[in-house]
Amino acid sequence: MSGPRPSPAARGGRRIVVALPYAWLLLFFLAPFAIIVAISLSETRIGIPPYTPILEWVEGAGLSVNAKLGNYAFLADDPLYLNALLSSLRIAATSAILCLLVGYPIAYALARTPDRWRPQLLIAVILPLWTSFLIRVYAWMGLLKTEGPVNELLQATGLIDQPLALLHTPFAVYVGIVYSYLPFMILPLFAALERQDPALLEAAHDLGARPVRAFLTVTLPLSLPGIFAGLLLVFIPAVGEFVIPDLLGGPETLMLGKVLWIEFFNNRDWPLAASVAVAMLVLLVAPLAWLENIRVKRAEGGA
Amino acid sequence: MSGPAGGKPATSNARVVLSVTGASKRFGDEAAVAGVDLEVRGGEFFSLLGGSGCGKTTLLRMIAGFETPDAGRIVIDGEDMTDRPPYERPVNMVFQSYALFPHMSVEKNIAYGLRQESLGAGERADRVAEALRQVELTGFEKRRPDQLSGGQRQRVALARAIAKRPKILLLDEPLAALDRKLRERTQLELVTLQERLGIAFVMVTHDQEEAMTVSDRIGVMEKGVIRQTGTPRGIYEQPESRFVADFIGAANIFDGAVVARSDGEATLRADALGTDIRVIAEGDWVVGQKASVMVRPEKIAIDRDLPENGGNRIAGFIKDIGYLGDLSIYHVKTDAGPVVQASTANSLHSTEQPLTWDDRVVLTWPARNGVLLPG
Repeated sequence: MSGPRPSPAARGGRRIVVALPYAWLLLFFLAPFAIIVAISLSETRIGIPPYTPILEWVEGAGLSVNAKLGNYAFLADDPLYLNALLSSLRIAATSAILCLLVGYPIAYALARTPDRWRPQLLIAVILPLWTSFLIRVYAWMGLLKTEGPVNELLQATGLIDQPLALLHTPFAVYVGIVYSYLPFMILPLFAALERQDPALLEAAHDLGARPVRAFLTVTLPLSLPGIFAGLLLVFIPAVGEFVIPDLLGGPETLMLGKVLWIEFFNNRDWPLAASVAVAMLVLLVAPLAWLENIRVKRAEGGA
Repeated sequence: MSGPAGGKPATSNARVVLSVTGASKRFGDEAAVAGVDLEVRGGEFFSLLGGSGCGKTTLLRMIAGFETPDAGRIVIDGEDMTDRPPYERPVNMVFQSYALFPHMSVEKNIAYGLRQESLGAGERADRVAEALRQVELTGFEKRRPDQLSGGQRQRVALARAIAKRPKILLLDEPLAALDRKLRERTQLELVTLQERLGIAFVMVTHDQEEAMTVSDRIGVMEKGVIRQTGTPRGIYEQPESRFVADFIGAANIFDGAVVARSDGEATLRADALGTDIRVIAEGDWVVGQKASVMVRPEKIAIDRDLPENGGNRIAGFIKDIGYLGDLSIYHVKTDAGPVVQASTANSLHSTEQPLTWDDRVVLTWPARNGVLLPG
């Protein structure tokens, strides 16, 4: 520490500033999550609430804990859940990569745009987020349906004779996810690319690197943090996505979000739905935390 | 003045490695570079000196290939490079920000340019090691740029550029980010390196002292044009325009008109001083022509009384004294009004200031100490 010692009042203030986000996380994330974990360890029953209490005061015996792992065992036994998980991961990963392929050129162009045009273009990227997500997905239903504009255009240009079945296919799900999550890919990529000193690319050219090589050896590696951030921002919500596969997907698109919905609302099995949610979180967060840990260590330890 | 301006062998008979003819570049309505002609010879240390916005950096970037001139040609080592991209030009640049690749070690930064050539791994490693030795950074191979000091980064940038063995090394304000002591040391190291490598250096700087210290020749730029090209001594002692006289070093400039002309000498009636100033003059100066006389402060003698010596003589009193340690600069309010600067070296160890505020003094200088400039 080089600065002067802060006064006790300043230190108290600092503590409050640091504590606030933790308090927020504790109240609105950890506490609800603890409740969900608790529900996942209970059993379903007909009643309000529709699960057995996990802690019970039994006369004479004191506090009894009724935690059961039966729901998790059920998840592991029934291949439906594993398949839904794998399918969700596959769809989310593919969507994230498609977003990257579409978003990178857009972010790159944005970062190279003269300052006076950039704010307008950035707003254009964010603008769709201002309309309801649901309405935008409904709009895609209209666009992709058999007699929709996409099919009409394809027929008018003579590319196809018969309308294609676009809606309620995996294709429609990918279109929906890539379209909906693209801004979350573009923004971190743009931030990473815009931060780059343009002199670095000039230095690469100056040292004899042709444009493609300069991009691959300088621009791309330096934008990796943006790529990681973008992939995570698309991948994580896409794994649990429910609305898009429900509205645009067909019976063959099996996703965890949909399974969760069915357990919760159709079967009213709160404990099983909660265990699906907990399992999804653990299976997603654990490897990501591990990856992040490696990345941080590498960043600290030098090249 | 010490350094290359004094003792370095002349490069005037060396081959021309850079020839810029009529180079112009506009950005919108603004002419950044407006018709520059420039020749740099092999083994020469050339500086482009000027204030901000004078076009010096744009000119350097045109030589590097980052800007395409609207008009004019750029010939490097006998080959027209005007329309070639930077990666096909035999020049390398040391950027003002150094532009080191932050995700690569020192070694990889230096090897980057060599990887673009068809070199064997062994030769590449040799060239990297040699470049590191040239800038005295051996042992820093595995460091990353953010683990280096400013001075070390500057050396890596230098090593990365010279490892490519360019025909011309371009330097864009290479020392601007260093503190004063380090900058002065690095200036001399740059000169040593340039002499050892024997290639041409073209440096952009706004610091006239730096340009004078390192350069064989300087091009003084203003408003997109090179106003004068010459050795540091030539530019300081024989400026050809008011702008150059004023820009380089301190100068007293007296405006007026030529009132008499004799062999090798002219007399100028200085409007503000109300007196005549004698000055050596060659060329076609005619009586009645508007002109200015420039005299450097250190070329004016100052004392309470000075003998009449046939030179120029002005009386006044001391209004202000700038004590710089090695020098004292006297601001003398002349009887006619204008303030004239005269400086003396403080060569005697003395606690006593021989001249002090409000002293009446006489300023004298011989005709040969002045320079006649077009008005």
